[in-house]
Amino acid sequence: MVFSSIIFLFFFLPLALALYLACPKRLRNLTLLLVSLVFYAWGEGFFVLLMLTSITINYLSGLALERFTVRRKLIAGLSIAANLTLLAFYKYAGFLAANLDPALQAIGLPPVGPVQVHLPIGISFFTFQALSYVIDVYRGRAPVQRNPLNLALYIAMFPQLIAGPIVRYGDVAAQITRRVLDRELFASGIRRFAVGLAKKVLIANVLGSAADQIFLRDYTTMDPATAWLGIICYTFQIYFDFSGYSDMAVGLGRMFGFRFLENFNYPYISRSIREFWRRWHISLSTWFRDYLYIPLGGNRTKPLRVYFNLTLVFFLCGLWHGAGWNFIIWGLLHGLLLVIERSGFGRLLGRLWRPLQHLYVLSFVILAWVFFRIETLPDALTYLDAMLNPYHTAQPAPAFPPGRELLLTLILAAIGSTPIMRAFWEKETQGPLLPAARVLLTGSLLCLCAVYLAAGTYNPFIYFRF
Amino acid sequence: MSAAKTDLILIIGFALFLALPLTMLISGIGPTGAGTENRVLAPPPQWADLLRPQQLTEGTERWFNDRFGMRNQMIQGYNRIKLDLFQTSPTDKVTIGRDGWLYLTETVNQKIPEDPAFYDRHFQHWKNRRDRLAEKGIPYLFVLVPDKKSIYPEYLHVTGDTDSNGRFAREMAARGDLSLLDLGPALRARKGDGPLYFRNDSHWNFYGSLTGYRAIAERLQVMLPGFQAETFDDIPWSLSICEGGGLARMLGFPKELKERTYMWPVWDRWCEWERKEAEPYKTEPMPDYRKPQTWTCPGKDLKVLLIHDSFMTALRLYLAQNFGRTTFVWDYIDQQTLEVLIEREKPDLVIEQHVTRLLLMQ
Repeated sequence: MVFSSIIFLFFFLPLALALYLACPKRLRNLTLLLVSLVFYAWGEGFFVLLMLTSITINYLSGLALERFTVRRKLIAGLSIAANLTLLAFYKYAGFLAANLDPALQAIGLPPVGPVQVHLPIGISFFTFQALSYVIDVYRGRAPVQRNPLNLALYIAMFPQLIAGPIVRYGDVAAQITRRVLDRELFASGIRRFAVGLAKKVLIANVLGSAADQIFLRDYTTMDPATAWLGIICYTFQIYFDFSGYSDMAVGLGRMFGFRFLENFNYPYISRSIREFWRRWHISLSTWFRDYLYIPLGGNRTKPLRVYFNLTLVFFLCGLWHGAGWNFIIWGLLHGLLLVIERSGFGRLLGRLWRPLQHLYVLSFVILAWVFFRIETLPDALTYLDAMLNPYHTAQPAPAFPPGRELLLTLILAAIGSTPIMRAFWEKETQGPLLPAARVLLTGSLLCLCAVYLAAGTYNPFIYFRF
Repeated sequence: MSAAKTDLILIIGFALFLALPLTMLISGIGPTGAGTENRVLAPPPQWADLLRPQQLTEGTERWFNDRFGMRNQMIQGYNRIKLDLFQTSPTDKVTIGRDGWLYLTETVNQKIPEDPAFYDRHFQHWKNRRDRLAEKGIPYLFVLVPDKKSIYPEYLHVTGDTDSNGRFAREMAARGDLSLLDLGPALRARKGDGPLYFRNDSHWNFYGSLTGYRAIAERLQVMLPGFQAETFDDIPWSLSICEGGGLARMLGFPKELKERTYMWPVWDRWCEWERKEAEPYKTEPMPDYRKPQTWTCPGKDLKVLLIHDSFMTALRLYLAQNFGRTTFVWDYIDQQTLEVLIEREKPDLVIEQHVTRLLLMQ
C-alpha cells in the first residue's frame, strides 16, 4: 500500500487514526504496531514474517549485547551479518547470480542461472534501521530495548517503513516510550502530509508520466529538446516523489506523536556536490557517514585513504538504491565528484560566481540521473549523446509535445525546488491572515490530490463490460 | 484568527475529509453505478478470501476504489480540470483531436500491419468462409467499415497512412477474390454532404451508415439477381443537436459535449418489424444489447444472417428493410458457430460486417 492511494487515504488512514486515538494511551504502541503490520501485509502478504524475523534477530542481539560484556564485537558482527544477509539475498541475489555466471562459465563451472527473488518492499529501509539499533546499542550510544513490542514498533512503524526516512533508534527511543500528541503537532502533521501528498500526486506523478513516455522512445532518433525535457522531468520527478514521500512520513509521524528528522533540504539549490549530499536523502547520507565512512577513518586520514573511503561509500550508496550497474555507476560518479571537490576543485569552485556554482551542481546531477534512470550503460550513453550532441541523428523523430499541464507543473516544480515557499509554512512566520491561508491551502491541496487520486480509479469502456 | 483556532479547524476538516468517503460507503450513499464508465462495479470481498490474503487485499481495494463516497464527483472534478484547464483528455482511452473531434486512442495508436503473413492468414480465413457457404449455395458478403480515423484523419495530429481499411482491402484483392466490400471509398466520396461520423463518438452517424448501406445495396443487387434494394431517397435529412456519444461518455460529459449531426431519420415507410430475441448460440453470458435478435418484416421473403459489430446499430434499419427475416448476431464468430447458425437460420444470404479496428486485432 502506498500513501498516495485512495485505499490508504480513505480506508486505512482514517481507521488507523481512529483506532489509535480511541485506545488508551498504554495500548497505543501496540495499536500502532498492529496497524503497521497490517499496512505491510496488505501489499507484501506473508513477507511480513520476514520483517518479524528481522525484528526478532535484532531484539535478541540487543539483549545479548546488554547481557554479555565479552565477545560483544562478535555478537554485533553476527547480528550485522544476519541483517545484511537478509538484504543481500532478497535484494541482490539475482544481480549477483547474473554477474557471477560469466565468471563461472569462463573457468568452466556450471552457471547459477537466472535467480528470481521477490524484493520485499522497504527491506532496504527497515534493515538499515535495524542495523542502526544494533550498532548504537553496541557502541553504548542507545539503551537496549527490552520490550519486544517497542523494538518492533521502531522497525515496523508504517509512516517510515517503506520509503524512509531512515530513523535512527537513538532519535526516537525516548519517543517510543513517552510522547506527547497535542493539537499543534497534529495540525502541523496534517499540513506536512498535505504538502507531501501534493508533491507526489500533483507534481511527481505528472512529470513521471511525461518522463516515462520519453524514456520509452527510441534514443537513437531522439532530438535534443526531447532528451533534455525527459531528463529534466525525471530530475524533478525523483525529487518530488522521494521528498514528497518523506514529507508524508514526517507528517504521519506527527499525527501519531513522533517527530522524525528532516530527510531533504532543497538539494537542487546546492552549490557543490558535497552540499548536495548534505541536503539530499539526509537520513541515508548521515547513516553512511556515521556507520561506514567515519569507522573507515573518515576525513582524519591520509588523502588517498579519504578518497578511497569516499569512493567505497558512494559505491555502496549506489548499490543501496538498486541492484544494477546503473545505480553503481551513478553512485561512483557522485563519489568521483566528491573526490575531485575534496582534492582542490572545491576551493576553486567556492570562488566562482554563485550562479556558475549552481549550474555546475545542476548539470552534474541531471547528467548523473541519466545513469540512474536508464538500466543499461549503452542506452544511457546513447541518451547522453542525444542530449549533448547536436548531430546525434540526421532524422530525428517528432519532438515530444509538452502540453499546458506539463509546462505548468514544470514551473511549479522549479519553484517548489527552492525555499521560496518555506516561510509560508513556517509557524514562526507571522501575519494576520497567514494561519487561515495555511488552512485554506492545506485543504485545497488535499482536495485536489483526492480528485487526482480518484481519477486513477476511473476506468471507462466504450462498450459495456460486465 | 489565532493559530490555535485555525489548527482546530484544520483538524476537524481533515477528519471529515478522511472519514466522509468511508462513511458514505458504509451508509450506502456511495456510488451504486459506474456512471459513465460502462462497466459493472467490483463486488465486495468474499469471506472465503480471508484465507487468501492477496485476493482479499486486491479484492477489497478494487471494491473500495469503485464505491467510496464522492467518487463520481471527484472524477468529474478531475475530468473538468483536464478538459477545461489543460485541454487534454482525462483518460488515455480517448484522444482529443482538432476542433473537439474525439477518437478512440486505441484506434489512433493502431499501426497498419506490415507483415504479409497477417494478410495471408486473413485471406485464407475469409476465403474458407466464403467457399464453405458457397458449397451450401449461400452467397456471402464481407463488409469492411472504416474507422473514424480513416475517414477523418484531418482532425488528428497524426502523420503517415491512416487508411487501414484501404490497405486491408488492397492486400486481400492482391491475393484473390474474396467478396469483400470496403466502404471507405463510398464514404470518402460523400464527405462533402455533411458529417458522416459523430464528432463525439467512434461510430458513423445515420447519414454515414446510409452511405455505407447504399454501397452494400449496390453490391447485393449484383450478387442476387432480381434483388431490388430500397434506396431511401425520400428520407428528409436535417442536422439536429444530440448529446455526446460513447467517447463523450468516456470523458465523463455526455450531456455537455453536444454536437450537430444527422440522427435517426424520420420516415413513414419503415417496416413494422416483429422483433424477437433469437435463440442463444453460445453459453457465455452476454449483455442484452449483444444478444442475437430476429426482425421479421411482413411482405418480404429473403432471409439474411447478419454477423456484425457496433457499426450495425446505425445500419440495421436500412438493411432489415429489405428482408423478410433478419437475424442479427453481434460477435466475431468462428466457422463452427457459423455452421450452427446456418443450420438453424437457413439464410438465403450471409453478410458479415466488421470495423477495421477490431479486424486488425484478430
